[in-house]
Amino acid sequence: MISDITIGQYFPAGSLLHRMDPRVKIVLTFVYVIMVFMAQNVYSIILVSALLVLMTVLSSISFKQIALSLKPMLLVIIFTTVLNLFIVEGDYLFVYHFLHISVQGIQTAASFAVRFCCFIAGASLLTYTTSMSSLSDGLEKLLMPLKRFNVQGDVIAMIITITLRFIPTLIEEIEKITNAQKARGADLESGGFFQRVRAHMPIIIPLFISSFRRADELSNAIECRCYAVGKARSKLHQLRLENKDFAAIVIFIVLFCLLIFLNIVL
Amino acid sequence: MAIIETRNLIYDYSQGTPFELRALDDVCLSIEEGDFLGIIGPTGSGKSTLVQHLNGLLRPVSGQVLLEGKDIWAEPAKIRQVRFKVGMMFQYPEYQLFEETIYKDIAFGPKNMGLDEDEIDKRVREAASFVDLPQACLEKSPYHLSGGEMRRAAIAGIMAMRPKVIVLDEPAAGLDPYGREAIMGQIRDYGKETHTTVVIVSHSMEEITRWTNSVLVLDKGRVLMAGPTEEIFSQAAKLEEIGLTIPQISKVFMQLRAQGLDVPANVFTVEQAEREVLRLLAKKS
Repeated sequence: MISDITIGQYFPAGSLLHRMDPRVKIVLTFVYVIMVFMAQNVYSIILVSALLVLMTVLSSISFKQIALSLKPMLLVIIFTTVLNLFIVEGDYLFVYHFLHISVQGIQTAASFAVRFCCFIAGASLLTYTTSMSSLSDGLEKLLMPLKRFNVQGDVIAMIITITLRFIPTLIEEIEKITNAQKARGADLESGGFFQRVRAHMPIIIPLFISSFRRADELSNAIECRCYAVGKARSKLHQLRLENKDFAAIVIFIVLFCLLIFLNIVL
Repeated sequence: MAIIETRNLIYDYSQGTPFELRALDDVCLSIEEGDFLGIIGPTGSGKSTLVQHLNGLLRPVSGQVLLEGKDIWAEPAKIRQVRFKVGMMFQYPEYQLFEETIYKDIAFGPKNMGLDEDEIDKRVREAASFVDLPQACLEKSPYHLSGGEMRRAAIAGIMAMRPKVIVLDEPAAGLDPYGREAIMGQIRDYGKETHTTVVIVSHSMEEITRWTNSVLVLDKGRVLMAGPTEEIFSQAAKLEEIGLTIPQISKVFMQLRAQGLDVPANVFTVEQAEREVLRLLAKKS
């Protein structure tokens, strides 16, 4: 059933990565992605790959699961690899009419493929080890300095949280309304694209109406509990940087410098 | 003759996954034409799952569902036709109203049946009168109606299809006592006038004993008891074992009997109670 979808694919566990501060995880993921794109030669690529392996080991997420995270992008990876293989000029190893494979082509293709995989895997590690509420908290704290530019991080975090919380409810509602209209003979399967879209109106309209009604009720409910936009709120779980967070930051700074060094020297 | 039957019906949710759950286990039921059947059972006993099999919204994992003697899944491509014969209304149906006017919404079912304009018009007006919806309401938008009116419009939408069987999941849920009485009365009158078989699912024992003539009790996906209403409700102990109860008035009379008064044990409605009390008082004087 559609309700089996797990949004964000969070796998709860007690690993080191799971217990790190979400702000640090978000920022370091960002840094990692930059490092992946900066890696130009073999050694730097080995560096970012090794870092990925280290993070995976510390996350108690299986390598198989990391590999699975690449599945949706498999087509893109294969396509660009093949493209790189045949486009890049250089010392030709293989020529057939207008198709050629050069040493540089192989290098570029391999480099791109590996880095792309690291990028996807790195980002997946973030969502695998951080629950949506943690991510929302972390994001909210990170966006706080932007208040002077009128970016309301707490409102954004609230929007994200409410949206995610209501996705299962909406899915359930869709199933309910669909059944009710099917019970009156709605035909949702036959006909061309446009006919099927029109056939879904008896589902879409009630869904919209009930969403507006729900939004109305929810805003009344939270107002009754004294929620107000712009007013400072405290939290049950305070985010606190701990030793493991500082250690991670230091390690990343060191590796980042090493990467720059490798890029310059080699 | 039995208008709807299920034979050894089995249904599992999330089949093949680690969350597999047997919702219905070897359910055999037989509903006679013209019956007013009530389906009761504790939460999670499979009532909603069972009724969704009656109009083909769910397909049995094994077992059969027979409508007028024929397996409804004999031709899966034609399953929609079954839904015109077995009309079904879910809980809180006012949330499924979507058309611009009540008239159009009630006409949704007949339109799906492919009927012509005149026939549709006839049926819409007829259905509206069954639920006491004034003709003036027909041109209003669903969102300008009261909750009770919306509920009646939704029921009319099913009645307009003139199904042989009408299945209602808690038709009176959330209505005030007058509303409950009115709607159940309209359903009963509709069933009698049109010779339609009625099946309701309800949690109100008072409602079941007041309106139905036959009851099916489900527990954990299995049929616990089935039979005439009076028979089922005279087995208070068995019902209480699975977390159900008997009507309040029945409890009162059981206690009166325990005190030694000469009153019958099987009193299920307040009307009946009134008669028995008056009879008892007449005897005493």
